[in-house]
Amino acid sequence: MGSYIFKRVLALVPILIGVSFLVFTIMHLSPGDPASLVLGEQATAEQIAQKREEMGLNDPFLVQYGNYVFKYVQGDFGQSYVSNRDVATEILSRFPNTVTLTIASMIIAIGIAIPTGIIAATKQYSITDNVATVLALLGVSMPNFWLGLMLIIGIAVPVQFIPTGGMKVAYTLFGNIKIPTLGSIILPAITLGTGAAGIIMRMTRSSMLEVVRQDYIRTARAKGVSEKVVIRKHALSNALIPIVTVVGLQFGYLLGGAVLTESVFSWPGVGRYMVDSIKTRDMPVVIAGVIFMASVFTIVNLFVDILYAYIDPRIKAEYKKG
Amino acid sequence: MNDTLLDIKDLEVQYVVDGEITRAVNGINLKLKKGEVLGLVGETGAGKTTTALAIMGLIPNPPGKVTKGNINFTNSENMKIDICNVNNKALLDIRGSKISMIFQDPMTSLNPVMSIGDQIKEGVEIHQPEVNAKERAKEMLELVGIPKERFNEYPHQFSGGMKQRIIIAIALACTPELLIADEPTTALDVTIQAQVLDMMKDLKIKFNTAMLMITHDLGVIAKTCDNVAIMYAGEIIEYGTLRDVYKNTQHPYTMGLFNSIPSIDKVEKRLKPIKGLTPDATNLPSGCKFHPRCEFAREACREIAPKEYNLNETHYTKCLKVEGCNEYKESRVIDDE
Repeated sequence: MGSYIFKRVLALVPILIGVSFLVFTIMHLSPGDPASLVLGEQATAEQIAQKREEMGLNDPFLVQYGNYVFKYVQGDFGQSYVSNRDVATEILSRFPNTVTLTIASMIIAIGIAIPTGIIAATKQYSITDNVATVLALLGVSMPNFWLGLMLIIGIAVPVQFIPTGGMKVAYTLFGNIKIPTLGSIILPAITLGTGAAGIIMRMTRSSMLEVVRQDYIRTARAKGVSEKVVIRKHALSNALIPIVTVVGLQFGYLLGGAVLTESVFSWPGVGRYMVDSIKTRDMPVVIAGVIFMASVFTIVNLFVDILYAYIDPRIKAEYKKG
Repeated sequence: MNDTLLDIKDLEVQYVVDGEITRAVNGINLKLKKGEVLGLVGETGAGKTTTALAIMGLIPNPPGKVTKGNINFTNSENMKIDICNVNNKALLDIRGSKISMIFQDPMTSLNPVMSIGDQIKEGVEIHQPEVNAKERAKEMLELVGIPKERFNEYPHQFSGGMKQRIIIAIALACTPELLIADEPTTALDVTIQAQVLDMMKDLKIKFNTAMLMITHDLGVIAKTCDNVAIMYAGEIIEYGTLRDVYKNTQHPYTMGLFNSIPSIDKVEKRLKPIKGLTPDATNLPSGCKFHPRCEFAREACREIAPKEYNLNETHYTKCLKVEGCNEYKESRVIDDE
């Protein structure tokens, strides 16, 4: 198991190199001059030329990229062109807010999706199943930003204690982990949660439907196990792998910053910071941010893969072999 | 004392899919005494497994339904229960404790994410809470020849034959009075088959369990059973003791079955298969359901559904020719246009 995890962490390296190269290339090719951005509109052409030389912007493309990588390896993510503050600190200070929002929306998503998915599967083609399936389709296909805006208009505006945006801090843990008020997190969490709920519900339903037809479910029934226990103990534990996979993927996406939802609700998370930085061409932030998201995503995936071993003993045996 | 354990009366089971009715079981009568081993033989699709599931009260509904008849089960406390007309709670009490079942495919019949020990002890925990389930499960493992140290291992760590033995351990964990074995050896190698059958025989003697042995392997029947019922298109067309059916075969279908197995004594170039296929259960032939495939079929067979005809106290068959009735004698041979 240990060696498996080590191998997976090692595999992170080429992924990060690939991602960083891609982002760097895109940012390099995009219009706009970082030097003039740093110096502001008043700067003279001479000042800009000097700044370009200072920033190494006249070096060949690969040399610039190499310099970035070299600094990254040392843990130096550079300074933001806009605020001049350390990029790593900026991102990490926003990350807890994104984590809080992610957890809140996943609680909503899982809380709705898994029970409905199970009921829909056990009562296939019933009215409950049809209603749930249609709602799930609706959840998946509804654009997040639109749902967010509708919730703001429909709920936040008329209801007093629910703000239309921003994060109201209820209390702070360990200096920088801020716990938001229920009122301020509920709408963004619902917005993010419905999409995820739709996907998770559909996966739960189809996975359960496949499992309840298996022979071992009949074996369990033949033992005199009650229907409730058959579903909860025998069917669900076998249906869990695909469910955990989609939950993990959703979790990874959201942790990377739910870009649209965070923007709509002015949530001070990583996603919104990224959008702002792209708008201002704040190159160091964008590159570091994308690398950060990619790392978080792969780490969540690794975590999911490890979780598989605890769900399915066959996979555990597979890991031990490899 | 009445020693009938299971009494199936005029059982009919149908599956309805998209408005089309599949008549899987069409009025079977069957009695099983305590400690008796009855073989149920038939081709694929003859309704053997459906009959077994009906006895367990496990016909998947929808699409399946018992449309007629009853299955009376009398347990050791002389309590009579009709499995077709009983509430779910009582059914759960019987399943796994009084009647249990061994399934056809050992590879897929065990829960892959649960340790085999937990799977064996589950039934005991439900039905016999006073027993130490873990100890019982370990005893059962030893009994079927698997070291009890392997209690915590998972199904994928066992071979097919061992899995089948684990399934037998599950089925026998609560010492049921009736064990239904649905093709318990079909999926196994011949050498393992013999092992499993011997073991089942031993266990039967040890616990005095009655068995319903479902198979299409006449050799397995000869090795294990007291009585034999031959099923065709959802009906029992011949029933008798092992000797009746094997030495005094009457029904043309049963004869066909025996002719389809190679004999070691006779020099035969070719086996004689029964021509044609099992009839489509959504569209069964009229009269005798075997008539389209029967070499003795006459026009009467197309019109009259044969009744049970007793040859002696233990042996009956459903065939107009065996019956020798006038309608059969007087009607013409069906000519194949």
